[in-house]
Amino acid sequence: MLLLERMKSKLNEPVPAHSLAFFRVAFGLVMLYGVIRTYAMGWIDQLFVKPTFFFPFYNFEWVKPLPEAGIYTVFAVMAICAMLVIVGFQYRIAITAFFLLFTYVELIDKTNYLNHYYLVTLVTFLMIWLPLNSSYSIDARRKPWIARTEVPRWMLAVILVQIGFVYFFGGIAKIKYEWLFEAQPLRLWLAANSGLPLIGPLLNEKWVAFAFSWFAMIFDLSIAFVLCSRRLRPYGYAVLLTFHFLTAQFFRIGMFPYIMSVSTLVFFSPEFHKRVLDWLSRPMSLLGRMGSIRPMSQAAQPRNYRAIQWGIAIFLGVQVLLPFRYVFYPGNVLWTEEAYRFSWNIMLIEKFGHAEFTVIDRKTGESWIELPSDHLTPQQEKQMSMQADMILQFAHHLEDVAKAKGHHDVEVYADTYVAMNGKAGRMLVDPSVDLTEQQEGFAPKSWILPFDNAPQLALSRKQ
Amino acid sequence: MRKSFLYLLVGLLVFSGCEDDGPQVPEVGDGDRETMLRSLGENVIIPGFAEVAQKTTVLETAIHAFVGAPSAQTLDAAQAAWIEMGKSWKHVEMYQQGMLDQERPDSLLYKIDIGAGNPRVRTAAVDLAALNQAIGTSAPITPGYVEAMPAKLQGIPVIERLLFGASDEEVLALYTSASDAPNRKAYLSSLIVSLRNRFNRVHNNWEADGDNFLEVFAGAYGTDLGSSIGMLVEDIVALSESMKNEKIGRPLGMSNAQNQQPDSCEARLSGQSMAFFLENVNGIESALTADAAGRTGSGIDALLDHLEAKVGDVELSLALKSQLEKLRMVAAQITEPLPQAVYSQRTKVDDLYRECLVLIKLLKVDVVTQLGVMITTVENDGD
Repeated sequence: MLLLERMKSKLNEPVPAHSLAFFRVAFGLVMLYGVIRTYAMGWIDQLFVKPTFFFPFYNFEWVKPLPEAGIYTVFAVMAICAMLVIVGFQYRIAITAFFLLFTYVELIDKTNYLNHYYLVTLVTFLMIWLPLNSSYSIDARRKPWIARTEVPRWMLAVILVQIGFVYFFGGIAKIKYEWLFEAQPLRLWLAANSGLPLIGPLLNEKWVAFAFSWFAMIFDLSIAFVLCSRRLRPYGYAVLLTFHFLTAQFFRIGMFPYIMSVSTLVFFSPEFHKRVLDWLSRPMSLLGRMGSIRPMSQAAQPRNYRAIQWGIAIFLGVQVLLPFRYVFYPGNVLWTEEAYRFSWNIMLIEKFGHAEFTVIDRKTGESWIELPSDHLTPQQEKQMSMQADMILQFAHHLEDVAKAKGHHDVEVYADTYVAMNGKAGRMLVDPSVDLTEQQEGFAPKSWILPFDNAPQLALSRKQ
Repeated sequence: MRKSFLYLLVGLLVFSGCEDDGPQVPEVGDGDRETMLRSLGENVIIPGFAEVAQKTTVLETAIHAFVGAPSAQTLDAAQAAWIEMGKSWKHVEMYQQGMLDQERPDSLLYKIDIGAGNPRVRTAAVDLAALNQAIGTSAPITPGYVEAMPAKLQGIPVIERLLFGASDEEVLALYTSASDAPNRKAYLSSLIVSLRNRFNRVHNNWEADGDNFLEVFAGAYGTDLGSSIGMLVEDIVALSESMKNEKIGRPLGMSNAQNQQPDSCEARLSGQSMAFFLENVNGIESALTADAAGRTGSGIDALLDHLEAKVGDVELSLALKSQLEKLRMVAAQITEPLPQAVYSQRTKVDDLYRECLVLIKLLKVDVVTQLGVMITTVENDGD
């Protein structure tokens, strides 16, 4: 009880508000860069305009893509919102709009799911409820009554916890046989960089892959705690930068290393944050320093303060549970990918797959083959052919396509072949199951064949 | 920090303790891959393109003789030369690397965007109306004129359309009594000149005394995205998919409620559908073994053997070779030309389709996994 009281009072201790402002600016810059990058790489067109069929998340089937002009407008508005967040102008509206638009874009097609997109959704949601514009912002200058020099520690702590979750649960997810005792998929990925000068040959070495795997697991589990220690922080951050620099060089993991390298600066001291903000705001006098000194006191708290605290506690609590929901599903989660997303399973699998479908008209007996490439983009096809839930969605889409052509009662069967983490290929989905009879849901998918017993190709040695 | 190092140390100790029990997979080094690529280039690709270039020159001579003096004999000779050239092309058709940009063979391969951003090799019949319109021009017909035409009006299949028909008499009439005979001759002559120039350029690009692309090819010996081996595997997969889907599946009507589409057989007019298909099979075998025409090399099969790659309890290299052999055996059961066989020997053609699928699975999934090559054609943003 005493501990709880002490913790409570510690969490309510005032800390400088500019640490929150620092995070707002830093994360806003990352958000802006991410949106511009998506545009510059041509991904808006590739991911949201070109496809003729999308894979929505379960229960979010109502989320539909906008036409071309609409989706480009969404990204333009996101860029504007990110800029508004950076300077802290109409902050709450801007961050709410960014969160909604970003989440909308992510919900359109789960073949685009990435862990760091999920992180952006979580962080921007959290940012809505925290007064990140209470200092170093145009809002604080225009409305002095929202300006703060100090905020309760818990407001900063929830951001640290959110960032820490990514590493910690990422580390927990790495405690798997494949990762620790087969060094997979790092062996495949490191070897793919063996052409690099100087260190290239090393990357082909088995011990290097094992060292990377174990180090990554230990790093992920411990780095958030290391960064919390004032004494260890500089060393920890140096290791973190090296780690993310190497992963950015070796693996195609896009923005993730940059997001984390920038976000983790929030663990640094308020003095550091202030120095950076002062330096940044020098050319932008508008941002200026905050107005009157008005530490947030109990009396000054908004009416919904308690509700926000509880809401955030539940929000973080759910995140603690989500990575473990895979225990409710049979089989190897890396193979079935049931309960795989939203669990910080980062860089754990390398899969290659092939899938094609047979459609049979029950009435006429007519049958035909459907090739995914006739309906999907290469990116969608690649993702679909190795993930059972998408195979099911695509089978239902083929049923719809058949219906539109006048075949009102059809069966759809999938012929799949998938290899995971360097092991020989095998069937992923039971080919005798009519997928039109199966529905998406939270229940385990009995038609996914278990990795260890899934049939492999029947081949002979005879030439 | 000290703690982190301690954890790392403990981790490494645990790892070294486990090493004896862990999987012992041999490594393939850069040197092995470079040797493989060089061997493939020297044994298969360069001689292959040399042969295509030489047979195209033979075809050019035969076509010039035919347009100079159209007769049953000169037509026969031109047709025979086209078949020989076509077979040699089928042997190296898959190698996209080393193609110069202007040779990127829309016109040779019929690469058609099918709508979802998926360029795909298609074996559609030549659009005769569009071809006749191009021939009926009042402008002078030169190689430049032909090269300005859309891809579907150029290349090997269009030459077939101009040399073959329902009967030789009918073809001859088009070059003798038809009103557009002079233009048709000029179009055919221009097509072959253009094709010969293209193949010469591709061959020259590979040769050591030309642009020596072999060095670039063998130099990109990594397994990362854009490496030669990655692109090579991708090319082999693309060809095997086109063999199954376009060359066999489409004529069978596999995607068309089993309604046969014999017009979509490759080389239908010349009756070479199965012969070309088998030459593709030979080409894939050469690409995997780096062996060709008596030359023995060290190919992808050697890398797979070195890696002790298996599917079930069968060595992957052996599984690939036996699957290619199976394709030949099943194809040998098809005794009629493919456009007829899709009706009369449907089950056998269907078997061939199924065996092609097994080959694709081995190539696209197992070979890619075992070699650890990155063949993602799509840029992505992480994991």
